[in-house]
Amino acid sequence: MKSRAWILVMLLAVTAVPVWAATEIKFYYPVHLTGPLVKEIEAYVADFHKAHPGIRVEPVWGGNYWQNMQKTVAALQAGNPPDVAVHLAIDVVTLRDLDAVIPLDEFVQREGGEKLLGDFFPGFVSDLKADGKVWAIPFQRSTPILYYNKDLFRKAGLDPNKPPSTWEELLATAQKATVRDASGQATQWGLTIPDDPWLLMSFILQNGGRTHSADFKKVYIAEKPAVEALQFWVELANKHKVMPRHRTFPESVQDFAAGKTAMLIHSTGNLRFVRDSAKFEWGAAFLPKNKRQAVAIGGAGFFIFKKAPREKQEAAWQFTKFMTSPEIQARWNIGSGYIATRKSSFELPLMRDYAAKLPQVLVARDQLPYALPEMSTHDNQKVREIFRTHFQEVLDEKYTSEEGMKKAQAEMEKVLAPYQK
Amino acid sequence: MHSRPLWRLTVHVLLFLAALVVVVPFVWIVLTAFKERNEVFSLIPQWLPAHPTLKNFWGVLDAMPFWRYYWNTLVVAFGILGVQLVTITLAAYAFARMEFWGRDLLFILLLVQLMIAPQSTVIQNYLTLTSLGLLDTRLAIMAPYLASAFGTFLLRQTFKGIPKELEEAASLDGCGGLRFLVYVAIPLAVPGYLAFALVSLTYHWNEFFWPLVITETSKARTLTLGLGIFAQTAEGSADWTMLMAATLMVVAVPLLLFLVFQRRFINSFMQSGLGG
Amino acid sequence: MNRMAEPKFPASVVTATRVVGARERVRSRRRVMALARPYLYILPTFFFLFIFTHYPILKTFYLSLFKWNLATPKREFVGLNNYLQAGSTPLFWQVLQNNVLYAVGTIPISIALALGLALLINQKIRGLAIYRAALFYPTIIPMAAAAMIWLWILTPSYGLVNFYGKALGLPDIHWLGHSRFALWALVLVGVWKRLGHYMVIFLAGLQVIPEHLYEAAILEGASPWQRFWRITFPLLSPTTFFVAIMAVIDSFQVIDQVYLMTQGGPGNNTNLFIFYIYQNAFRFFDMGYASAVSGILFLILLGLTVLAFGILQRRVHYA
Repeated sequence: MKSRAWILVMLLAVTAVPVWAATEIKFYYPVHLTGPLVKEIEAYVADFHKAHPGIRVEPVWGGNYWQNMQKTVAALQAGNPPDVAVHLAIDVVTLRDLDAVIPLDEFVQREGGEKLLGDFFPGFVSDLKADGKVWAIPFQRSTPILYYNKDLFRKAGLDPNKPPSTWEELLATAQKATVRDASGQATQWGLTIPDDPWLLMSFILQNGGRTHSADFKKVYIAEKPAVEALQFWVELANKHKVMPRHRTFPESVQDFAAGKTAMLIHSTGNLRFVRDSAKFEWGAAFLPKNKRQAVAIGGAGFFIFKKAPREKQEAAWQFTKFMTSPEIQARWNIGSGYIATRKSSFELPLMRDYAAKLPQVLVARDQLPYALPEMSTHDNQKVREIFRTHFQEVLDEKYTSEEGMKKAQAEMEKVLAPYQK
Repeated sequence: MHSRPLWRLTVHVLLFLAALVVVVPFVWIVLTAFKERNEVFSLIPQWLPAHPTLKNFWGVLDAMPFWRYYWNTLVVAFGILGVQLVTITLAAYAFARMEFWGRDLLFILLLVQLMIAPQSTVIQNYLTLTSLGLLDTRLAIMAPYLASAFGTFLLRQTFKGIPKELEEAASLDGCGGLRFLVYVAIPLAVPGYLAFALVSLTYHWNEFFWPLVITETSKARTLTLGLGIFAQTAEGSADWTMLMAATLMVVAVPLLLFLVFQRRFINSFMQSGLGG
Repeated sequence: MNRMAEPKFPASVVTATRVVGARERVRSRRRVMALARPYLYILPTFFFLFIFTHYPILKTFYLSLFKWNLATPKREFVGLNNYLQAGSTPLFWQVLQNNVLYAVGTIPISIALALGLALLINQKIRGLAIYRAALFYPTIIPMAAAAMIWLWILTPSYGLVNFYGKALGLPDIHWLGHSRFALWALVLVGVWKRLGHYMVIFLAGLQVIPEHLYEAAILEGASPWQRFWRITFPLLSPTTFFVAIMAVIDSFQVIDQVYLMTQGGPGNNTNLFIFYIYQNAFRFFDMGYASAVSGILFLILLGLTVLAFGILQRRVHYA
């Protein structure tokens, strides 16, 4: 009898294994279904499955950041949100407005609390916190850095080991490195920066300015430091003509890879691409400072959703922990170009070898202590779009820097009005 | 009428110039597709590839689920057409050859579809299909097009042209109603069907915006959307040669079909003022 | 039929009545069928038409009366507020203006070129099929592909246009990134893409003009110029008008180009109606406002179409 009961129990256990083992979690990740990033993530998911046979992760490639967010919001409206997702740090506000995600403090406490968080670079954690709680674990973070073409520096008689470190030097270097034809047309730019607000934010911060309030309800882009920063940018393009007015993110990287620009300010996420396509010697440096050394951080984090049942949240946490572990972060850094979010990643042999081959990676890391959160508000897509359009209109000399930022500030305040309580 | 050689020469020169302007962009992308990645960054135009390569085409197949997009496109375009042929035949026949209460009003309600841009109902159709759980499916891409006012309108004209006597004669032979439709009316309308089919297939093969809104993954995405998305990814946007190879792969088959069946295509579009 | 009445009649009459009754039942069923048949025939069409055309129009207007966005996730009735908001938003007017500029930029040029080319092609010359195919092919390729082609051709520094532009002494221009040129670059692509389609519609119009009119005119000694203005142009005017309306409606539906080539930028210089709706609905999640803008677009297009049919009818009678 007893042995038969045992057999029964074991049978039950065997048949039950797939039932409780397969905690399936749906994972929205912001990438299009192409390219090396997908292959990287797929490899990590496969490794995760090996380490956690009880959990199945079902990745859904959601497109770029905002398309992925659109997908999540649509799924929330349909009552069928993902269990875990990677969204921008600035989407913390919107996801909380929608009451979609849970704070992760309880999980973090379990893993050692401050000791765990302390291993992440502080700038990466600070903008994922709100109301004293942690809402996401940093992943796929980036900052802008200065890329420069050492060959073109030499040609212009500049020291290839001394990139500009202040705004004045940036202008002077760009002037020397700009090559013009007989008619005064630039055939090679001294500097190229994509005309996106994210990059302007770094200049505002360097100028001692601020972009938004800690409660995400106010913006400060019409303040003097912000207007001055924009004015400096506008003069680079329109007065000194050492920089093209409008370039998109991909266009500007192409220009750098093609040797059309001596310097490029762009995301660290492009280190890998530049390494693979530049046929010349190139360097990386901190962004030049003005009143202070600063950059605006971009990028994302892992969020866990409220609607998921407890055991899925638990599984989602296991996955989050795995994906943000020092080993995976090192592999991710090498595979994608995004800076590893953990300090200890840089101690791993894997990462040391990589940094030995590509020392520019360490520049990106060493700049992190100066990183500050990028602009983040309620309804951030709308606010960001207002910023982008007015910024570009100022570049096109439709308004002065001051007028443009005042207009933008007023429109943003209108968008934020419903949130003022 | 104008037989003077000078006039003829002028016509040729003008047409040649116009055709050149329209064709050159395409020639340029074809040539680009066979170049090596860094070759295109030269500051002096190099028309012919220095080292012709197929690498870009293999690269595209590696970088995106091209065949899946192809399959989705075929299913969507032919699926829409298949259902449309049924719906428009029945409706056109009723509107052309039957008397019924409210016919004119219903016909106007049908024509509403011609008057509104499908884009202006995108939000609501998105919400409807999402609530039906059809988001990100091929069926959802097809759904709004399963009835076609244009097709109904086109066929109705043809059906109306069939002489009454023919129907009466057929009816005496025991060939009334549906059988008349199948054995007499439809065969007579074959040119109309063909014109409609070409326009419908082209339109849905090419469509971009609605699939963009209603799909979220490559599960249901079509070729044009795949191309647009490829252009937004890092490799696509940084590598012109590969992007042009992808463009060429998307247009190749329809373009070849067009070159072979030129007359048919052009005649179809002549009739299709309203374009699908 | 009436069971109570049955015994009152002789058996033969009863059977006869029964037979007649059965026939009548069949006949009345047939009559019902005959009445229902047309409705059954149009049912599949109207089923889809209702769900995906009629209902969405009504629902769009209904939703446009609500505030429904990130700040108000539970929708809230606000009457005509969204329409008032559109009216007081400078961007809405800029979008409308962009759309009008796009239409003004595309339509006269496309019509003039399409008509001119149709006249040339209508001459019976050798190589006609080749010219026609060369001019028509952009119609059948996807706008997405056309956008890619032109992105590459218009790209700064190493794009084809800038190569030859420089040779002509033009500066190296980022056509799609320049506030003054971006919209015109889109216009160029629009003309390139649609020219062939409009051309063949003109060709169709030209082919139904009776040859004998020209023969008579030639006998009277009319010059080609006179023949164009006295015969071709007036007889073609319904076609011209039709193409014009089509072009206006096309220009209000432009989206693929904007999405793939400029995303509405720089600034909002190429933000057109459908893109604006898309942005508000799917990027900002402002469904109420986006519905109101959709409603406005719907009314504009309806107005244009009704106007067009009205004028067209009068024109046709006149001709």
